[in-house]
Amino acid sequence: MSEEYKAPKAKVKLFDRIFKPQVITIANGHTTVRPRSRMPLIIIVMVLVIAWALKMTNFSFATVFSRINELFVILGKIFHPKWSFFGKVISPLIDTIKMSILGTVIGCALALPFAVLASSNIIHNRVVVSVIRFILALIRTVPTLIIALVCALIFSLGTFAGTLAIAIFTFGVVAKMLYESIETIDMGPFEAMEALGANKFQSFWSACIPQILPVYLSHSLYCFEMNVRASAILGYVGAGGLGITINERIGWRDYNGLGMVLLALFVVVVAIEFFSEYLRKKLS
Amino acid sequence: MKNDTNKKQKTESILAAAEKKLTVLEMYERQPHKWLLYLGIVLVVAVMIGWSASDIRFSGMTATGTEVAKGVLHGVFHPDTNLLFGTGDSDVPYLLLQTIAIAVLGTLFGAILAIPFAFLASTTIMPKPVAYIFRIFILLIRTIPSLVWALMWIRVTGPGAFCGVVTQSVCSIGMISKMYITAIEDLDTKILESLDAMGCTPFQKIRYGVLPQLTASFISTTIYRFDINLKDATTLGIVGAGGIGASLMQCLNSRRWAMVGAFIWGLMVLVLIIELASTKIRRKLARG
Amino acid sequence: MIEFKNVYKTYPNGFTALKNVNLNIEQGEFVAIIGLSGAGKSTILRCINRMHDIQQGTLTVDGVDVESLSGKSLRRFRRKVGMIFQSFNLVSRSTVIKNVLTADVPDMPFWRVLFGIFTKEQKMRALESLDKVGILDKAYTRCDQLSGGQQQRVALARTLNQNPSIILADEPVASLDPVTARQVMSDFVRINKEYKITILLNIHHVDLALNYCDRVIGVRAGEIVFDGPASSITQEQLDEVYNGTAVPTTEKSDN
Repeated sequence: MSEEYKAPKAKVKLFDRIFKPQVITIANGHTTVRPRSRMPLIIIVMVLVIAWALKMTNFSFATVFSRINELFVILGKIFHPKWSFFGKVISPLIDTIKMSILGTVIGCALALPFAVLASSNIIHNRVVVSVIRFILALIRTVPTLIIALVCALIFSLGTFAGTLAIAIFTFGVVAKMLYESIETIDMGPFEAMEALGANKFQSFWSACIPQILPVYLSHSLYCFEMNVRASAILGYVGAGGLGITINERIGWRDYNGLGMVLLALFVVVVAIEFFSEYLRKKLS
Repeated sequence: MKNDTNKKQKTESILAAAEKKLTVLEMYERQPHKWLLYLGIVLVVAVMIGWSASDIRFSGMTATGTEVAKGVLHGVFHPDTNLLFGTGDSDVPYLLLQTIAIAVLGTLFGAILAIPFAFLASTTIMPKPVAYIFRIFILLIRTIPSLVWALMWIRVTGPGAFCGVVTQSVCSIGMISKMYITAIEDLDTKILESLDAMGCTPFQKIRYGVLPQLTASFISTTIYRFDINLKDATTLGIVGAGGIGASLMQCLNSRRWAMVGAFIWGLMVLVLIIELASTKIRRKLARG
Repeated sequence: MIEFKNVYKTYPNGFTALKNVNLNIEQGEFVAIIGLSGAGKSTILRCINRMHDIQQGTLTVDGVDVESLSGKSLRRFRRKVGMIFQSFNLVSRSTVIKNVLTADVPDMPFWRVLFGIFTKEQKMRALESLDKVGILDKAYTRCDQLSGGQQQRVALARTLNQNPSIILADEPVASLDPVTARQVMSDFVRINKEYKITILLNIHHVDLALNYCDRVIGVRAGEIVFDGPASSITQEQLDEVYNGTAVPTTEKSDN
């Protein structure tokens, strides 16, 4: 005699257990249940958090509005860049670009193997996957500026420390984006390769890599965009590039000069963004 | 488009070849030659790497380099527990809470400020020239690095967490409005058609056709940005805009490794927790 | 009653979609419009609630000349005419009941629309509409978690909730599988019989049209080539409607 099958009960969420759903009966006697709305609770929590944050940070709208002209004075000067300063911008600007290129290339090259090792559809060993993912997550938690500062303290001030900081940051970010994409690829071709007698590596190389490569390049370009922007401030902690110049100008309150630096950065960032967006569209 | 016509031509030539009953060898000779393109790409990349590597030289470690490296490692493994679990104004928990407060307010104000920008810069709502002017404006805001914004705002607010909040409010506008724009341009307009058939006014169509579609993706974007802002808030302290960054920098520069370790631990745990939570909430918003 | 008199319709791109259409549809009829894609099926429906304008002739609904309506009077007129779409057109991120409640929106004061405040009576009526199409238990589920057939029923409930005297359905079952399509068609039949609502629907599947509808109108290149009871249509007449091409059936056209 077989026992009657009992389907497991649907899980009731904690919220619905505390605030019992309402039963509604309509005119003809049919009923339906309405779970209690979460909105009031969410709104109360949000209001409390915001009130706490306002107190914690001493935020005051009055100060912002009464003293905002100070900001516009500076912004006004920035929008009248000192053109004569252009000559002094070029060299650190090129340094910044070089730092980002090399940092991106190194970081991306390292990211590929680690991303593969962190993809659960390719590596079936769960320990390896979670250990590598955890390491990647740890790397991403440390702010780039702190990495740059530590690098500068260890390897003397200059572009090398900046490049290293960018490489580490890129490694963390690209590896994460990449393993998320690898997990969505079609594993059908891989199985087909295994079925016709190829070993794991051969199957991976000819069935998965062609799918991963365009995504990989696209992520790398996207990261390069971010890096140009980010590397502009690494100089602030002595890691070379435009940041040193920016720090200097602000220190001397030479906001017209700062305007020139930012204008040059703006042009480069826009150009790179257009170029990389165009390439990424081609890749997809 | 161009790709399509190319493909068409290719398939046509293959079909033509099939009709003429070409031999295998002739077909083989017709294979597309792409290696030149690949070689070109490899060359360009190689030249770029070579050029950028030319100026970046490894000048060896500083005299104290090894000591710093050892110190940081030692600090991470032997953090100052008094600092890590203390309750004072300069201890890790308080500074972390302050960092969270900065990110909460910065993200909230940024998300609100970004709404008008997003609508003004989306090509489906505004005429193209107006939309592009606002896009350039958004790009300008985005290009000024957050540290520079912080240094400018300090003149308004004075140093401290307050400065961090206004800085993040402005810095967040760029990315948030960019993602809002995508959401606005991806709107499902079919629902507007059925509201029209029901007899709704334009205002009613926006309230019941557009808003319900946007809120979820707007909230998701805001949470994503909160994640980023939290990481950024940790570095703003370097220029005196509050949060945990300033104390971390001071300890690094004065080589108090046990304290450095305590700060790094606090930072890592906080960022990991927030990242996990934000991913989970956003997944829930997307799938319901 | 819906009455077309010598109606012509030309789209802005110069394509004439309706040529001298004459039709009389009485209250409570269940009519299927069949024909090839592009023959003008949709155009006929969309002229009735003036989603499209006509260029010549007169189109009256319950004695009102549709072309004379504009702004407020047009919106009030549309309250009586429900419309169902092939792609359901629901806010998929909202709950089922919120979608059904939108049917009440045009009659509400500004501030209640703004804050989305609905009365208990409105909510009960929305739930009753959902009960009429048999998905009362899904009232507080998000639409994107429902199947296609259930979503089309939500759309039907939304239309019922505006208490229409006419329902226009534009390819209501085209994106559903054959079994679900039959269920939705029998929902239509029931609503037609129980509430005496006139139903006009466009449909690709001839066998569904013949099985469920009372009257069939065949359209070819903007002209009406058949108009009569579903039971009387012959194979020759069907061939004429479809220009002599093979008659599509549910099974064949669904792959």
